[in-house]
Amino acid sequence: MEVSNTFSEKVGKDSTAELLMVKELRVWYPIRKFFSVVGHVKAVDGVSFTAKRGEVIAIVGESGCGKTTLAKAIMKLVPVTGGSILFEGIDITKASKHVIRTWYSRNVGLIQQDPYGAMPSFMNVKTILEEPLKIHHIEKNERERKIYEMLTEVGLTPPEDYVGKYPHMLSGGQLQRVAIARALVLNPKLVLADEPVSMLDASLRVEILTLFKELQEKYGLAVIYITHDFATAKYFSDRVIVMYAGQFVEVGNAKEVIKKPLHPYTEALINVIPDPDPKNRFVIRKTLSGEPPNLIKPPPGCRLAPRCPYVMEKCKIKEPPNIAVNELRLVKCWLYES
Amino acid sequence: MTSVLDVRNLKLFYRTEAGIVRAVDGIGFTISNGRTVALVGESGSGKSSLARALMRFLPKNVSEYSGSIRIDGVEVLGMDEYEFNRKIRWKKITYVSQAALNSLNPIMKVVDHLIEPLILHYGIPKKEAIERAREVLVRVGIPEDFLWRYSFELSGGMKQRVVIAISLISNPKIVILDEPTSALDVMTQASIINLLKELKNKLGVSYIFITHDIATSSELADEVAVMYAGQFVEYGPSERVYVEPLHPYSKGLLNSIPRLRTDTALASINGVPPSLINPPKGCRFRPRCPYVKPVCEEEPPLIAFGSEHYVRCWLYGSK
Repeated sequence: MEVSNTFSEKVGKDSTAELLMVKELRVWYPIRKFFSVVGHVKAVDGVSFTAKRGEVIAIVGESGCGKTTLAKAIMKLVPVTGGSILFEGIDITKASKHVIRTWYSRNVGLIQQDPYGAMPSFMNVKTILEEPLKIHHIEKNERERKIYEMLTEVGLTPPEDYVGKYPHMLSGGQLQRVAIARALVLNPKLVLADEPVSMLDASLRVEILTLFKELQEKYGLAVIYITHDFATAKYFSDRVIVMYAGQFVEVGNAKEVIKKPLHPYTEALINVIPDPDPKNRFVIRKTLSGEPPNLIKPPPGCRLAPRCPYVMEKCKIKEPPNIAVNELRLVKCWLYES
Repeated sequence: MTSVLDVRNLKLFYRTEAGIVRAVDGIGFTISNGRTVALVGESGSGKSSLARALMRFLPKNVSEYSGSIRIDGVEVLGMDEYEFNRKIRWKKITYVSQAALNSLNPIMKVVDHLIEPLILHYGIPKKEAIERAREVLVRVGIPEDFLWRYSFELSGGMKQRVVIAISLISNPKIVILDEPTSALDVMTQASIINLLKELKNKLGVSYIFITHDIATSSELADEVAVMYAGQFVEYGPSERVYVEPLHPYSKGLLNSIPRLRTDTALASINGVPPSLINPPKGCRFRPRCPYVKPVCEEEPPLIAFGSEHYVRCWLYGSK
């Protein structure tokens, strides 16, 4: 306990603008046959990015592109194959269990996709919110105060009405508010939100995201918002990272990327998202043919090459580098080689 | 244009321990041949119950099922179950459910899923049925050798195409699509919507497209019905409803959608939908409405704007 406090103070003073630095991160899941490893699913394959304090980064991609694995790696929920994750300068892939449990887990919160699955059905709201506080040895009176404060913050007022409720008594929207409260109850510096609204009704999404954004600004949180939905990423994030087959294909300011996508995959993804418009029904949308590659044996060159409408010979052989188009924009595509 | 579906004052109530749930409460609309109506609303607004009422997929606890449903000119609500099953369900009107991806039997081949209804319902010889299955499968964009695969070998998008093929195999007049793409990825979703658009043009089939996502609804809708607490609050051509919605709830829905191509401010609708057991007296949107006035305590009538656009709101009618 004491060790962790002094440790976090020491680290806290040494605060740089970068809260989180991910370098060349690889997460490969081994495929076992009997006792030997016969291959790997390269779920995350060499990704690097930094998150500043108070910055909201959206990671956009389809299912199976590795975005949830990336979040799990940052949460220390899956073993990392290679690369490093620096949080306030400490490499958490190498840190001891003690440091992770007492210091890191306090500073990183998680909001999961399915609020129904994420809440134990036998625990009431108070127990759900109290558990992380207990684990981190917060005193009883302080725990109580904090639970009531968080419930008020997420708009579940008056809190007395909600502390005794069980998950099945709450609507999806209310549950997701509890999930936000739980993620923020320890005052973390970074929150990972993995598709926090995709299970909710379209009309509710904005309400929950607006609430989350308000709290993010109030507490100066850094947020990694994982989503498949470009439209919400545009409204609720500063930067957007587009992920395909375990790699980042484009990184840039959210509005800029949406206005002028550079990577063929980003372009295709944006093209297929409709805005409500009566003319839509006369339009056949351009989609990419085929399906994302098998991550056990991804294509040797660019991973989009088999589906890309602009494919060149080079793309099939050599993996494209990350090309900096300008200060804020990175694209992994041979089309932008100067 | 003739109407393939004419629904009047349709009601479907469920009996529960807590009271009567008025899931579909007096709905009326018509669909002309080859047109698509999108049903838009939040979960619990009664969209899927309306679909069940049309397909007559009724649970045991139904307490009221009344009104009028005319399919292709024939009144079907009073029809006995045997006749309805023989002539209407899966023949004139078919259904693609929300859980369609899981509705295929993994140990049956694709071909068996497709020919089963033809053999059972129409008594078509197996050879002919397989020919027809082949034709429909190719039409939904799946290579014909997939006929002999098991459904567990298919990806999500392919399964959805097979389910659509099954719904089309009897040449129906109306296909009900209940959230057909919400379990799919963005790219797959777009290719399924593309397929539905092509089929609509080629086959002249009418869709009832149920979704909570108003942006996706505009991909297919000729007409839009906005559903709230078991009733239609607005109904009209998509050129009108998406562009100039009249009802405060429709406006709220459209304002709460993040848009990719324009920078409009977002606003969510306050409050939560009412319970369908004891809906508010008068206008059901009253507790959440920003324009509420005293007259809203009385039930608003459906007010017509021109011949096609209707709205259930006192803002547009004097009393």
